[in-house]
Amino acid sequence: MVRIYWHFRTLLAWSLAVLAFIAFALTNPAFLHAGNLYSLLQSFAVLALVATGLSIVMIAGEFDLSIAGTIPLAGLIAVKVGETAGIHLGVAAAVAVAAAVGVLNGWLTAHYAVPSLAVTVGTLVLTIGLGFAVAGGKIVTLTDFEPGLWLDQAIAEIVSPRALLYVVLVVAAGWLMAKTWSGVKIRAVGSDRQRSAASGLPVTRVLILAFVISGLFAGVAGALQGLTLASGAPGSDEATLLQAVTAAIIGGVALTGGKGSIPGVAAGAMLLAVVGNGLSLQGTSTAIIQLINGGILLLIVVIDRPLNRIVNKSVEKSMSTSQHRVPTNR
Amino acid sequence: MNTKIAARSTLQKPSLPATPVAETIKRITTDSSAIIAVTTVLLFILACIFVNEFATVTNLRALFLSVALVGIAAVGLSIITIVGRLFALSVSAMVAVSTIVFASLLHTGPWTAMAAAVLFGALAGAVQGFFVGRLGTDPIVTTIAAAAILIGFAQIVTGGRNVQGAGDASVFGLTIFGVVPVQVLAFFVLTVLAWWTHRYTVLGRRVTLVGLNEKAALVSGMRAWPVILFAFIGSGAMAGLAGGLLSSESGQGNLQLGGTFGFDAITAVVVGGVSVKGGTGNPVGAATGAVLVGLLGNALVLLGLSYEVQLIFKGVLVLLAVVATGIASNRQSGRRR
Repeated sequence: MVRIYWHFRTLLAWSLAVLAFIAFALTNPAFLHAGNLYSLLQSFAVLALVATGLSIVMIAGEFDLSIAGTIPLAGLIAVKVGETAGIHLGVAAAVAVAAAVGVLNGWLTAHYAVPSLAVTVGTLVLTIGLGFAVAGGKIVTLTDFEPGLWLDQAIAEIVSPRALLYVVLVVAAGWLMAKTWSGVKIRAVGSDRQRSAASGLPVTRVLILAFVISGLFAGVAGALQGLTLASGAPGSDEATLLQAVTAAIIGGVALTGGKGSIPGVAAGAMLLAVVGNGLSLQGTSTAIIQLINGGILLLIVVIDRPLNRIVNKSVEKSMSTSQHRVPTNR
Repeated sequence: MNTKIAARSTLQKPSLPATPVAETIKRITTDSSAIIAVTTVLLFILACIFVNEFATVTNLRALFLSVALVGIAAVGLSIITIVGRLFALSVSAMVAVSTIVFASLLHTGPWTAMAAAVLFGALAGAVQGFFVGRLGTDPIVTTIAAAAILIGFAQIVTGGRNVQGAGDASVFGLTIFGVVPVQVLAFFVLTVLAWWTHRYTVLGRRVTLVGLNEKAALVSGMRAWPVILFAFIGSGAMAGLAGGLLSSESGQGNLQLGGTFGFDAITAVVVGGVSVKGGTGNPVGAATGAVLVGLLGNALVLLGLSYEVQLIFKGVLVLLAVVATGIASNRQSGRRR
């Protein structure tokens, strides 16, 4: 029953995304043009990647604010190191730093048993500061445009190597969460940390893994974004964070931990990407799109609880009826 | 009941009689607000001795002026943290929109404009408090969404432009007795008021109880949501006041003002030893935290360090404070690591 519900959440999110897609396709003929679908998939891929990383942390029962700082920092490092030491080394350095931030987040949260929200506020400020230090008060630019152009070239008119890589990473994360022991452990730690620890699960290692995935994905997104823009600026990327949280929650990731699936998160990202793309195609300002994103998020958190309560009740009912059945079957 | 909460929230007295000195040391090492207070005083003394130009009246006034507004927002935010609802991530947005409210109403007089800014903050806080308290939504997500909505609305109304206030806001720029600026006075008064409310009123004790143990509060016949609503209203009003005072400095309002307030306030609350788990810590801690962060920033500037080093310092400080409060609360609950 519970499984059916979370499948239902994923289905609901996907059908909303498809509905929005159809609605925009019918009302605006320009929506289905290859160029627009290309930009839709580009924004979907970035959002899905960052949201997937964040949702793994959320499934583990924690939260990662620091991705808002990791994304610009990774872009800056990729561009700065890439300019002097080669693109590959630049990306590697950016991703390594992002993973290190993840390790720090996970280790502090787990080892000192402190709320990750407070820890990641600290690492957020830290990464913003590191970003300013890397930039050194200037806008950092890359003179070599080739890698960025290669990453964003259109394949079959609508996808790019960058979007494909992101989708592959999201699918890999989905496989990790659905089919491997690591996924089971992350979910268990998120559902009930004390019992997981008592059952001998390596809670610290699992939390570090979750935060590293989140940091890695944010780092990859930031580094490749830096390459394609061929520049980087320090600061914090709160708009992406807002969208990633919204996507995760639309996809059915519970803030209390332990619940949610990666296909659902991808659906949430798709819904947001479609709505954002369709609205901006109609000339809606970014302010209104942000307003709508905030509204969607608020609506979801409000209906989330009654929805959960109904499901829990029906679960209890089905459990109690099955308990009644057991004696009669004997 | 009240006395019990008071004892738990401030100092835990050991049941066995101990020597006063040992007891005090234990109390200080397990009470994170005390650690912060001691650290702040030590740093202040160190800065006075080792940093040139630090211990001058002009510099100290500048220091407190830079701390005052963030401090007001932080004291407000600490109420939400104490009631066990983590942080409001909408503080920056509320401060920014309040500057616009203040600037656009300045032609009706500084006091009405200030009242409007505070009222706006209280209202925005009330809506979020209703969601979080009554509807039981997650505070982080609710306030992220509220921030997006507030900024979106303000962007549409102002068109993203700067709002120039038509009026005189110099009332809030006065310096009382030539020493204490109005903003600093407001910061002190509000800190004392928040401390007194938290320590000596039923409402304050309720805030602590809900933060410590919501189920126990419910069992003893106290619903949590009105208390949570109050916390958000108080916090929102303080953010509105901070925004109004910020706007009065220049007579302008725009969405870029107060952009750092949100994380600065969170930094102050966390550094100030207010436990993110709720119930422990007090508004004075948050105020001390704000002063400590401002003090460090000021001293670092006087030592000639750059903005990015300050930010990195601040980040490390938050992490250290989080770990310190974590260790302290683990030791209090008898947990070993």
